[in-house]
Amino acid sequence: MTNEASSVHQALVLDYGTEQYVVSVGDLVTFEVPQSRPFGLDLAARLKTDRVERGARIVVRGRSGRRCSIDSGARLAVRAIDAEAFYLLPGLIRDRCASWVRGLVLLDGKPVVWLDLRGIDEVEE
Amino acid sequence: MSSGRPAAKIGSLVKARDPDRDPIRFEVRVEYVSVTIVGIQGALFAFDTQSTTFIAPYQQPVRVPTAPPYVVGVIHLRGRLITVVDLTHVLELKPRRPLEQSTKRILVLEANGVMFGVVVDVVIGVRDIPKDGIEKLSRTALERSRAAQPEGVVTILSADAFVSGVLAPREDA
Repeated sequence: MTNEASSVHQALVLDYGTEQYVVSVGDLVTFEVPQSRPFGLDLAARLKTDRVERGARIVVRGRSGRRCSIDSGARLAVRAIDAEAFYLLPGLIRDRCASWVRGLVLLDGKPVVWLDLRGIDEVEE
Repeated sequence: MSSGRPAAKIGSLVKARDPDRDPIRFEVRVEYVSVTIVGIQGALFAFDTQSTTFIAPYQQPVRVPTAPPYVVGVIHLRGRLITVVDLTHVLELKPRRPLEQSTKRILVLEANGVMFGVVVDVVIGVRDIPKDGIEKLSRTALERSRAAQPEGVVTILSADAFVSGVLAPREDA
């Protein structure tokens, strides 16, 4: 399987309860848990998953350089993940998913979808 | 064609068979195709055993957002990340009442260097089907042929055709 560099990688785990996603911390400008529902792009809707209460707001710097506010709808946790656990998508779906679905991460032996939030606001759905 | 040698000499080299001691045998050569037969939504399908890598107990695949509708998700199995597909969508089968979870399996296939899993309701087994008992179909590249078996008519699917169809450049790309 193809993987990226070999070191420990700081990643943000988005926890929706039944589903988890991983975002590279390098993609982020800031993240916070606001008191009210955060504004911005509705990530849970894009992922077609259920939100959790008091989901975090994430701000990423898009590829265009523009900041993008994202209402993740998920609980967040920062985790150090071995870079060898990051994989591209398998060949059958590699070019069949949106560009913001970057790949997979093996988290405790289980595959978790790895997102590229830098490009999510540039994609027409 | 004449070899130019005397006929008597050739005759002496040939050991003629005695019909009383060496009865005439008819050799009938039957060619078989080895397939793995599975049940999906109440219909029988088969894949060539050459493309069948292994059969695994069912595990819930991890859903991949924006993946095509026939993709159930991805599983981590035997050190590989494997895309799992639901052929119900591809074959346009009418969904039926789900069978018992205990019989559900993931049939892992490999074609054109791509490994993928297919959700099946039940694995019937591996069979050798005589080639002359296989009827060619002209429906789609995926549904290549069919054969009658004791359980019913089995549609033989081509894993190569499935992968080629999925990986073919899209018109909208």
